[in-house]
Amino acid sequence: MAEGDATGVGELEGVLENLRALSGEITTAAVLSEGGESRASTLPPGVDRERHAAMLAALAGIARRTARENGGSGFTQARIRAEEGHVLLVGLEGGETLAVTTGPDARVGLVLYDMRNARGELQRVLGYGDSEPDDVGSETEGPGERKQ
Amino acid sequence: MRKFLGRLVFLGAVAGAVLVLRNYLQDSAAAKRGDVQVVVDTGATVEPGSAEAQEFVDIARKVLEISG
Repeated sequence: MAEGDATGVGELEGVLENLRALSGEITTAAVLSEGGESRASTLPPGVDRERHAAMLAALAGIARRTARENGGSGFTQARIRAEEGHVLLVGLEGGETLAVTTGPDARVGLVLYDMRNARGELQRVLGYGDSEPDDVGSETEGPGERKQ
Repeated sequence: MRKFLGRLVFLGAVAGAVLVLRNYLQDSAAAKRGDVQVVVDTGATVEPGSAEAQEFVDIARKVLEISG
């Protein structure tokens, strides 16, 4: 499932698979470059990866625009709820984006908590150093249980 | 006269059903308050306006659709 030509693609996919294993409510996970290319993903076979990446890049683009319009330089996270489920984005250093999809009944706070924990590992693999996961926000539900 | 009234009632029922269906479909497709939240790197949490939120939701729906 290698995508793009970045080094550490296998490692990135490993981190995404671990995230999916930890948070069973995640249906797909992907890392996008700032330019919108898919760096790695856990998409099932048969999914149009380019289209999927293009859609996620569009979401990340609007989230960045919203952040700039509100006095920031980027977004740290975005959550979008639709009838079919949720799309959650977490901004990484260097402009990359971690994006996941969940079902409609997912506990979004928990999923975001797991995404923020995976962020440090993703950034290490991407070469931005081993930053600590963010402080857990108010949306978390029982973070102690998530440590593995 | 009775036939005319019967048709009128039938047409009224059909028009009502169409209106109910149209409202239901519009409500289910439209972005509601709280559907979209963006946390800015300044720490602020932003809920975009309805047009922008709708844009988010429409794209998210497509992502979810193609993700399977």
